[in-house]
Amino acid sequence: MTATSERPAVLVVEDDRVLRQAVVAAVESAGLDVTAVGDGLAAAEELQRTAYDVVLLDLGLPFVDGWRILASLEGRRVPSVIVISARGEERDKVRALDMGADDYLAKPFGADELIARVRAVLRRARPAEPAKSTVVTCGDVAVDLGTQVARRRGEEVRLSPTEFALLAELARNAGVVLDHRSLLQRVWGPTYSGELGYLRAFVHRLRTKLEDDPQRPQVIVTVGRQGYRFGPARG
Amino acid sequence: MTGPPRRTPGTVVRAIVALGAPAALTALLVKVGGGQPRDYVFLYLGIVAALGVAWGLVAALLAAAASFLLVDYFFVQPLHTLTIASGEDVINLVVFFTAAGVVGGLGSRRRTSQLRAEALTRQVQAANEELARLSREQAEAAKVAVRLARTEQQVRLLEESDRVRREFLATVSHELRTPLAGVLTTTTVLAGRRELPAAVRDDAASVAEQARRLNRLVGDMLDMARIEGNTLDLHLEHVDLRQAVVAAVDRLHQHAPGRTLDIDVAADTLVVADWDRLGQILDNLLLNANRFAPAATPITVRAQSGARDMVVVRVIDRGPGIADDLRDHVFEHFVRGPAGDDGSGTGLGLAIVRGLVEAQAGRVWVDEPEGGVGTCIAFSLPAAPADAEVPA
Repeated sequence: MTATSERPAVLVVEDDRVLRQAVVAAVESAGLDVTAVGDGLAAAEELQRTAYDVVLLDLGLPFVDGWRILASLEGRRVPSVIVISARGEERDKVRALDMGADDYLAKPFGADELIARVRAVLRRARPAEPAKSTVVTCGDVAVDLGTQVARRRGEEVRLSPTEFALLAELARNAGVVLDHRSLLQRVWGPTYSGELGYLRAFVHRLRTKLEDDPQRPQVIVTVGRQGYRFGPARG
Repeated sequence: MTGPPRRTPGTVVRAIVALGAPAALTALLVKVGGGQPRDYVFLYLGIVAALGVAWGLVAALLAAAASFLLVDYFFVQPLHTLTIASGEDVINLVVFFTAAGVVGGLGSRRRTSQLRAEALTRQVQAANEELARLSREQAEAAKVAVRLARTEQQVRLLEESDRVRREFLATVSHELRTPLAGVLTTTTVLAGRRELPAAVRDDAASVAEQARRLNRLVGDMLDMARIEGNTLDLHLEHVDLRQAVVAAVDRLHQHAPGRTLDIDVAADTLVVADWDRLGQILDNLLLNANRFAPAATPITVRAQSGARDMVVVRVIDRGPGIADDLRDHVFEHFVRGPAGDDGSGTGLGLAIVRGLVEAQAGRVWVDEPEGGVGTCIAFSLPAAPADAEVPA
């Protein structure tokens, strides 16, 4: 939430005027605070000035393109980033997720679909019922489910909201294998069960940040074709 | 250029000839008789000179010595002894022997020079041949270099053309979808505004539906362009087929929650495929089946091992089936079934299925439905070994 309002704040970065207005209208209709800018430079300034909960980020922008904005947000707690793109290239989606986007929405999209995605990233960033302050550890990695902070050798690891949501889901079930479909549905939502690319991109990112050797993971372990497990098997 | 080097006789043969030739001449002169023995000297000198030129100094001296003794024995007084009575004959014979030695020596030197010249000629010839071979190789290397440069240029052109094509498709996608996005988002916002009259909201919803349909057509046409232009980005890996089918069934259930779907795919069935494109194949086939088959009927997805290390997947519905005259054409562009179609398809779904399956080394065909009712579309994909790793 922003400091000035109880309502989540959304920044829309889109250079097409008609679409920008339509997206603003859709986000407002969901009861969220919304600000819109039409180029990358204004977006960078706006992100410096104000704390947003969600950024809807087009990639092809004048002055500073969306990729650079995305790169500048790496390792942030907020805002969540939803990339919106009309290029229709699968490699753009993979790259956006690899660079830390929380979600990728291909244009065109309906207002309902957009709002569902915004609510999903807000839910991931701010769970409705914060967990008790339980700390789950594996080696020198500690995940505090209450304060939503992950530490490695005592140092806080900078994670995006979705990265933490995935790590927390695994940590809550430490020692138990969670299959791909369940993880996607629990962390991203019921409509994401086939989005294996999301899961792979985020597991890869978490391993890079948490593991001593990401090629031989000890914290987020791949269990055959079944799924992933936090730490060693229970029992 | 000279011919091949002459073969020279061996030492023994040369010695026999050097001794035999003066002997033969002597026998001839003795038999013929007549003439002054002094004149015979020139005949012997001729033999010595010839042998000196042909075989060198040793042969000449040997012939000269033999000639000296034979002339002395047969033609110099007293005959038939090696004694020489006249001092003049002694001088003559010494002069003869010396002259023979000189002629033989000169001949020998000429012979040595000739041999050297021949050896030099052979060396020059070999060098010329080597030069010619190098020239041929150089010419061949130059041709190969030209061919390589042409090939590299063609590869660069193809890569450039491929890049331009991809960029063009991405631009087309962007230019078509951006205005569509404006239309779809705006109309869906309008359709959701409860303060507006119902008729306006309905109209907005209709426009939104048409925008979605147009977007499906844009997407399908771009996919066809990628398939036909060989610019599909395929990330082939070992894919758990059951997981892919379950995910596709989940997606269909979002559109058609009430539809019964039977999944008959064994766990651990692995295929080599692109996860997203396999999902698109299954989505298209399931959407088709859902579109044509009555809502109360089930759709079955079944996978079995096929021939030649392929896995065959069948999507089976209990709908009206495909008319016989359409069976051979359903995978072509814009061919639609006449019955049961709700108009939401683009007419490219099965053509895209075929393009995507074939790009992944598989085949697609219309199969006989079980019990002769409904439609069965089958496609094959390469099987991966059962113990193959799947990506982490």
